[in-house]
Amino acid sequence: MGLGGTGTVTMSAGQGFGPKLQYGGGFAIDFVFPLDKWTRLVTSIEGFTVAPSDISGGFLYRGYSGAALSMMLQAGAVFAFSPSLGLMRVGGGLGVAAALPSYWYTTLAFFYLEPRAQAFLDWEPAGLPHFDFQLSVPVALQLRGDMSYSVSTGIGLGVLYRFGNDK
Amino acid sequence: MRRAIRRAALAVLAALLCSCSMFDYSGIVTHKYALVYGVTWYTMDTNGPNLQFPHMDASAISAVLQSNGYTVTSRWVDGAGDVWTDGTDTHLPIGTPVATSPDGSSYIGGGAGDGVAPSKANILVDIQNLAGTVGPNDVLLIYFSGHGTQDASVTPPREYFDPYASVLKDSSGNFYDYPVPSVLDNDLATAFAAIKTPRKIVILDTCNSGGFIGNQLEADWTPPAYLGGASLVGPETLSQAISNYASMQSSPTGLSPYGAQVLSAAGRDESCYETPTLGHGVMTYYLLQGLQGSRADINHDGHVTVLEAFSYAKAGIDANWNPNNSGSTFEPHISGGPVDFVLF
Repeated sequence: MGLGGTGTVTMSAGQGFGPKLQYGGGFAIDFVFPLDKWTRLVTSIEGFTVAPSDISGGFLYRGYSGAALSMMLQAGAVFAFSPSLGLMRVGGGLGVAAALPSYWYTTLAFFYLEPRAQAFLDWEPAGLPHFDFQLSVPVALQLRGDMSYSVSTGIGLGVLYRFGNDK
Repeated sequence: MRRAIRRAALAVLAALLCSCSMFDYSGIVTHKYALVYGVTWYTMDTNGPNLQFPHMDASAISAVLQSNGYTVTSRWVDGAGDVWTDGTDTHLPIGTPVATSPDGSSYIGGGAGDGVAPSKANILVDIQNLAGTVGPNDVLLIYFSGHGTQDASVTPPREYFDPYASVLKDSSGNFYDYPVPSVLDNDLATAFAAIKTPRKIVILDTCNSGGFIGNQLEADWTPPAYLGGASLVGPETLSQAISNYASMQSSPTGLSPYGAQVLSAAGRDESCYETPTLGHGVMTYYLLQGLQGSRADINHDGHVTVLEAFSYAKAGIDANWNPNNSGSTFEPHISGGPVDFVLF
């Protein structure tokens, strides 16, 4: 089980309007199910917010906040090990999320699906045998019906607590 | 390999973070235009369904828009039946229109002011006249205060607002608002097609005005007839949002968010109110409070957007009107869609 936080930047363009950037952030509670030595399935419950864009050109893209459920298949391999520092693993993941946000200052909720990809670096410290620390770079495509396109990336930090002693 | 992956990821992130400078959105808005209408008296017949304050609403909205750089064209009928154009009393009165056709498309008994009154024909001509003036980067705002109605005899029900000469006396002496001389969402959508800018804003202080909102992907958890109490996100909201997503932009009625941003005083199925205590329509009163002195500038960036104005007016109604008027509660609504426009 893990906890994580992500800072994001989203580039979106609405129909008839140009692209703009929106900054945001989120947190996630992860449930991790190892599948074999290299792969694992991560399901997450997430909360997120995206701030409005700037107002240049007399328009802005609205801010929104909401919740999401996601599932991601991650694969990784050990690339460094030190008895004193621990183990480092690099990998990537592919997944999908279902999001239900609402626009700021409104009672308007909307839904969209979000395919995701992620590169990550895991560190299992030698002195903390039950913990993993993860640095990730997620990339997501928001399949929103009201946008010409919307893509986001960011930086994520997370900590994972492993139950049991198997490694 | 590891170095290459790191470099690629950093390059993508850096490109996105620096991409603000890739887009040229110099300035905020080039020119701002507004068409402002109000109908206080619909008939000189004292038994008619006249109102008290739409001319005050229209006058005050015109003033606040003009003071914020809008070029305003206005028409309203005051509480004595006189028609005003562009803030000046024409001293031309309306009449006592009596329908001479079943659909209300023709009438007799109009007054000397009919030719300049805020009728459907004049409103649509005003929009048409701006077609050659409003540029692609400009803002066009339309405001109307008066009666509004829902026609529940058709499926789905249709909502319209009532300009002058749409509320007519019939041969039996009863007053009705007739759909044909009223303004429907379709009428505005057709007229807007000639306006080049996508920055169109419609503000309606009328009953049932939520029917002008054609949200395509959003589920509004404020019901179309607000009965007080808290409105919450529930399973129905989720279900509706998913259903809308699956059907992909198929709002049967109302203005698409891509056609105009609509700020409505009331929900599709409810009334809104005016009161002597405030001297205005309730929604317009709180809207004015927000626009005057830019108190609606929630994020203090020096500009007021449609969403900020909506939020300020809604908060005022929720805090001051609804708790004290249990039989007359109502809630403003706003268009969905990802885009918000700067008012000034």
